[in-house]
Amino acid sequence: MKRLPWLWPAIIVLSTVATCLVTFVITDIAVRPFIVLWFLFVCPGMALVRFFRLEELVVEWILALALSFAIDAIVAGILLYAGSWSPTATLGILMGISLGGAILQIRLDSPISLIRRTRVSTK
Amino acid sequence: MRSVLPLRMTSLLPIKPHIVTHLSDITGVVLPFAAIVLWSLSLPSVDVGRMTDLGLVSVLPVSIIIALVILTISFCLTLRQPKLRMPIILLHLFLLIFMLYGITTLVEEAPRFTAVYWNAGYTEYIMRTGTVDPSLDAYFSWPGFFVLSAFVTRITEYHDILPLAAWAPVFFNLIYLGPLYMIFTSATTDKRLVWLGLLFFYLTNWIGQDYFSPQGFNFFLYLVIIAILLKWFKVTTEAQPRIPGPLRQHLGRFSPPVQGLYTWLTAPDTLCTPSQPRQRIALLICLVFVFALVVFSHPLTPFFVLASVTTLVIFRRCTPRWLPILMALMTGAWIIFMTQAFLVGHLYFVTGDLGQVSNTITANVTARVMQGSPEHIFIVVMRVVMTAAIWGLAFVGAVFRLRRRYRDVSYILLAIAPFSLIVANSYDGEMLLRIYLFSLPPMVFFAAAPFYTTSNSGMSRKMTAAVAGVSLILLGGFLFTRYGNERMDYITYAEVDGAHYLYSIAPPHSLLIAGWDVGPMQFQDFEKYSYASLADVPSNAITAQDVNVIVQLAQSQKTSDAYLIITRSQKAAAELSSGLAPGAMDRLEDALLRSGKFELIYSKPDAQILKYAY
Repeated sequence: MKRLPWLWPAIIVLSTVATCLVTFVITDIAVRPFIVLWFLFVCPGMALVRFFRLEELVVEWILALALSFAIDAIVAGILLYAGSWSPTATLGILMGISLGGAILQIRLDSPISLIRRTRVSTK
Repeated sequence: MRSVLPLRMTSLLPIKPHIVTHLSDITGVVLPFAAIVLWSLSLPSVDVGRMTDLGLVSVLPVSIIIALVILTISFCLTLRQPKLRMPIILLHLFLLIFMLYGITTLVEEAPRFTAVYWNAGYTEYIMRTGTVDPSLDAYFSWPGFFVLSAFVTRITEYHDILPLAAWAPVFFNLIYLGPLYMIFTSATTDKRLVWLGLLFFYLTNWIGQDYFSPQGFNFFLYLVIIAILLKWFKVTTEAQPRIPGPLRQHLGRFSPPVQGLYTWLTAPDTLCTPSQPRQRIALLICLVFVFALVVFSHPLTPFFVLASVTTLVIFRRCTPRWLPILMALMTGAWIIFMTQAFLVGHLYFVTGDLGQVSNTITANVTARVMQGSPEHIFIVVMRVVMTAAIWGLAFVGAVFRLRRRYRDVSYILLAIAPFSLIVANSYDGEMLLRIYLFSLPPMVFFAAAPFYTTSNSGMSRKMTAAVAGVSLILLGGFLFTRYGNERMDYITYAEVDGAHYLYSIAPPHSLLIAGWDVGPMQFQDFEKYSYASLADVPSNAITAQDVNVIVQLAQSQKTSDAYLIITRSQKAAAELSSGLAPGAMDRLEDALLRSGKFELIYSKPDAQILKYAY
C-alpha cells in the first residue's frame, strides 16, 4: 500500500481542531468524549512516532498509543506537581505538541524538503 | 479448499480452488457474525440475581456458551486456511475480546469490582483538589494513572470516571493485542503460531487485573517495552561478542552439557528487524519515556520490567547494556524522592517478606484455597488447575521447539524472569497472580507451539481438532476461573444509590463501617471519612450476633458519628469468601436493631444503612 505522507499530519491537524471546537466552542455535543479520547490517546504520540519512519502501520499505532499515554500523563503530572493543575492548560500543551509535530512532518515531507534531502544524499 | 472440505472430497469435487477460498472466507465471516448475534440475543436472559458461588457461569444460558464455542471453533478453522486472512482473524479476536470481557458490563448494572470504586475515589480526589497527598494513601505516591484518569474525566466533562471505567477490561485487552502481536512475531515467522498464541492469551487471562486500575494499564506499557526490545534491540549474530579466551578455557573444565547450555543461552536470535542508528535512538527515547510513566504510576510494575530487561541483558539477548542500570536509577530515584511519605511507617510492608517464599505462597495460594464456601473452593482449585495446565502445556511447547533447534532463549527467560519477584514480597497475597500475568505472554506462545511444529502442520484435520479441543477446554476453564467470584464482584445500582445516600448524610470525620471489605465505597470524598469493615471482626462474632463487638468497632476510632452500611455484594462476599452461613448478615442486622444501639436510616433492596446511636 502506498504511503501518503500528508495523511497523518492532516488527520492530526483536523483532530486537534475538532477537539478544540468540542472543548471550547460547541461543548454540548454527544460525540465530544469520542473526539477528545481519540485525540488524547492517538494524536500526541502519532505526531512524534511518524518521525521514526518505521514503515509498519501496526507498530506505529502501538507506539503512538503508548507514547500518547506517556505524554498525556507526564504533562498533566508535571503541572500537578508544579501546583498548577489545569486540565485546560494540559490540553493546550498537548495540542501544541500535536500541531507542532504535524506541521514539522508536513515540512519535512514537502517536495522542496525532499529535493533538498535527495541533493544532500547524492553529493 | 482443503481447509474447508475433507481431503478426499477435494479430489472428487470439480470445484475450482478460488471458489472454495471464497467459500472459506464467507464461512470465516458468517460464523463469527452468527456467534455475536446469538450471543447478543441471549444477553437479556442472563439473570445475575440468581447467581451462585460458581459465579457468572451459573446463570449463563446455553446459547451464550454455544455462541462462544462457535466463535472459538471458527477461529480454529480459520487458522487451517492455506492463506491466512488477517482481517478475518482480527474480526474473530475483536469479537472474542468483546464477548469474553464485555459481557459483565452488559448484563450487570453498575461497574463491577470494589477496587474500581477505590480507584474512582483517588481520581475524584485529584479532580476536586488538583493535588495528591501521599500521606492519605500509598497510591498517591505513584499517581500517574490517576492523574491521567482525572485529566481525561475533566476534559471529557464526565461527572466521574465510572462510565468509562466500566469498559476498561475490553479497552485494556484490545490494546494488549498490538504489543503481544509484536512480541510473538519477533519470535516466529509462523503466523498460525502467532494467532493461536493470541487466542490462548485471551482464553487464559482469567487473572482479572484488567479492570480500571494502574496495574491493568501498566501491563500494556510493560508489553510495549518488551516488544520494542525484542523487535529492534535483539543482539544480532554480528554484534554478539565472542566468548573470550579465558572464559572458554574456564568453560572447558565443565561437562559438555554445561558447555552446551552456555552456548545455547548466549547464541544470538535469528529474527531481527533491521533499523537505522537514528531510529534506534528514537525508539530508545520512546522506551525510556514509557518507562518513566511506569515508574510514575505503579509500585510493582517497574520491578517486573526491571527483572525482565535485566535478565535479557545479562544473557546477551538485547542491548543496550546500560538500560537496566538507567531503569534501576529511575525507579530508585522515584522511590527515594517521591514516596517518602509512604515509606515512613510502611517499610515493613516493603521488606517484611523479603526472602520469605513460603509466606508468599501461603498468602497467595494456601490461604485462598482453604477459605470460603464449597463452590468457591472449587473455583479456587480450578484456578490452580488451569494455571498448572497452561504452564505444563508451555513446558511441553518449549521442549518441542528446543528439540527442533529453535532459538527461543529470550522468550524462555521472559517466562521465568517474573518468578524472581516471588522472593521480594507477597504483595498482600497477590504476587503469584501478578507473576502469572507477567509470564503469560511467553507461556501462551509456548503453549501454542506443540500444534505448529512445522509450517504446514497446523493444517491437518487431526491438528485442527486438537487445537479446537484445547481451545474449548481453555474456554470452559476461563468461564469458571475469570468470573468465579462474580456473585460478590457485581454491583447493583441500588447498592451505589445507598452509598451515595450515605455520603450525602454522613458528616465529615464519621466512621463508615462496611458490611464486608467489598462494595461501592470510597469513590468520593474518601479522605474525609474513616473506614472499617466487618471483615475485620471475628466471623464467630457475626454468627453469634455479638452486638458488643460491633459497638466496640463503632467506638474504636472515636469519631463523632458512625454508620454501618450493608449491601448485597457485601453479604455475598461474607458467605463466599469466609464461609459464613447464608443469612448470617441479615440476622446480625436484626440483632443490631433489636439492641437499640443502632437505628435503621435507609432501607432499600440491596442496601441498608444503620446509624450507631452514641
